[in-house]
Amino acid sequence: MEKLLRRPGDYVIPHEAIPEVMSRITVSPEDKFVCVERTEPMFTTYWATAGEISPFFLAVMKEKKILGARCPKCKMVICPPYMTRCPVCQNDDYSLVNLETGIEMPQVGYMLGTPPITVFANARFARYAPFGRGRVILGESQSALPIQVFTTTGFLKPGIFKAGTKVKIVFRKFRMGFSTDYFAVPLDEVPEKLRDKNGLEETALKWKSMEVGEPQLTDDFRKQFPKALQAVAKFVGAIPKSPRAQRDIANWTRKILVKTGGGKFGLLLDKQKIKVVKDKVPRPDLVLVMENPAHLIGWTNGDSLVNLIRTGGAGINNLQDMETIFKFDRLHRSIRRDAEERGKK
Amino acid sequence: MRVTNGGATGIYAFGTAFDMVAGGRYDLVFCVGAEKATDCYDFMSETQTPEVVQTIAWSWDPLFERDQGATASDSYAEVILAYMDQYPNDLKMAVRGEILRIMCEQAKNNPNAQRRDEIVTPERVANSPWIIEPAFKKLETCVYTEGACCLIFAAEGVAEEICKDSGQPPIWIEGVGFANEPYWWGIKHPHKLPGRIESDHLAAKAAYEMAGVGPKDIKVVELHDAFLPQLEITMAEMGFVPLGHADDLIEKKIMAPHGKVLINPSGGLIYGGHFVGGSNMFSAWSARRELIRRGLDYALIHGTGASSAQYGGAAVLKRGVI
Repeated sequence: MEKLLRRPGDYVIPHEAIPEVMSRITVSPEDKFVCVERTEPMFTTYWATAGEISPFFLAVMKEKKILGARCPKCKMVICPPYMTRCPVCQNDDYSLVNLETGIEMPQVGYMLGTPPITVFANARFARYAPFGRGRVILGESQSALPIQVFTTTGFLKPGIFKAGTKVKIVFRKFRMGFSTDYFAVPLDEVPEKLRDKNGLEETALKWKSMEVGEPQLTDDFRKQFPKALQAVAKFVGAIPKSPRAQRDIANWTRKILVKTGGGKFGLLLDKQKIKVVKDKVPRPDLVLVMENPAHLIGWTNGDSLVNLIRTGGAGINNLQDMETIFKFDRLHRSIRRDAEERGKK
Repeated sequence: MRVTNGGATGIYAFGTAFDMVAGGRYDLVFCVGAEKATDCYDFMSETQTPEVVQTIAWSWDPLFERDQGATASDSYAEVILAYMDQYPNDLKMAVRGEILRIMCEQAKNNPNAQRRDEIVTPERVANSPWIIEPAFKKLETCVYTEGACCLIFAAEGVAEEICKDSGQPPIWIEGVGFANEPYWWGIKHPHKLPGRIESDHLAAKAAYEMAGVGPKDIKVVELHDAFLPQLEITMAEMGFVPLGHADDLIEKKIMAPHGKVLINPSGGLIYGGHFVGGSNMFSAWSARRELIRRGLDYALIHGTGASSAQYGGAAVLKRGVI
């Protein structure tokens, strides 16, 4: 591979060209219709209007209400109000019936299906992973409201939300007219006295963050530790022979402290290499904690650290740095594939 | 004519070319599918993939969904999870691993497959990290890639002349079907129903009816396997196994080499690569190849796309004689 040339500090898309996330309320000069306008995340410089859907977002912003729409003819209710005419009547007899808008929906509902939890997110949402997104049925609505789902108990794990789970709509303290101004939490995580309260704000709930404590040192784990450390050193020592693995960690720098029930060590990630250090790592960027050092041997054999964190076998002190763990999980496959190719040659 | 229809672009372009010839407008249509989208770059992770995924995610509803982190992967995951809600004993990981192992082996016979040198075992699948939990893992995911494919559609009379020159038998398109589901999910129609990919069901049904055949006549299936569990659901929707018993593909020995139906002999999109604009044409290329090489009569090709697998297309191909 030819040497990568770069001009430090320069970007193809300069940061000043990326618009901030903003919203504003405007009034159409012709018909005085009140609209919500937002900056679009597609790095464009213009404002995008919510148009005829604006009343939904205005109600969220100003009144902490969720609005639906109802057909005056067949009485069908939809939430969100994604259409202005009734699709049922149109299908039945081709009639174009305008829906009644502004129908206030209840703020307790149920999940239409089990929501997916995204672990490997796209660029814009990587720092939020893992996160959940699903659909909730409110009241008599036949359609489901797309919604982010959160737990007040820390790490979002499978099983917290399932099809049919009763949920409560919660509103952000600061609302800007986006579909992220509201989200759902399991109803049983909401104190009973707040369950019937409409317009519940996030600050009314108690939120636990992921706690990463000190691993408990045991004799068994101490015995396993040297073997685990040796396996890790051998594994990361294979990176310089693997172009794929080097690509996985290109332009990535981290000082990582690994704490196990058998001892600690550091991983210094820089210049497409990972160096194992037995000394203390001063001011680490990331701390990875696990009781059993044998998990590290598993990782060098292809087990997933993401899975380990997800299932509670390990923890990191900064969930927003899952990207580093994703990169670590890619290494085994890359090293193996390059080794297999070398073997064929 | 330019056709763009998300992940199902290939099969819809296929259908458009078929219509042009079958409708009598043209005797000969050259249909080209291509993909060029991995130039995106994510400055935060210093890799391409997250931004490529993001680029596809722009197609989501801009008001109610895009800001919530919706992606192509999690939309298919929603479909898969909703199916698992209804059929919790189906889509077992061991079965998924075995299907992947078979397709990985099959990819070795495809000179154009992008992952033909890999060795994937059920154990490796089970140990690979989750992409969307608990819907599918990394090794169950198609490889988004760049590539191109072209097919020649010719009218009766013209096709035979071409085939005489080339010495290859023609492949006749006996049936085509397309169906799009509603965008919004809900508890009943006219909304998309959880646990189903009705677009696949309706598209395949229309293609079978037009061709006058059924699943029992099909010996080669080239299926758009965006994600492995979706492959199983789609096989059920297209009538090869009952809904809720998609694992019968392996457990009741339906999928070759255990059974008689050859599924994704190209390695599918998971091992062949998913170059969105042309993947389903690549499927047609593979189905043609297998019909001729193995002397089989009928093949089914399939494409899916859009958020929540809302677009579905299918075509029944028949091996002709020179």
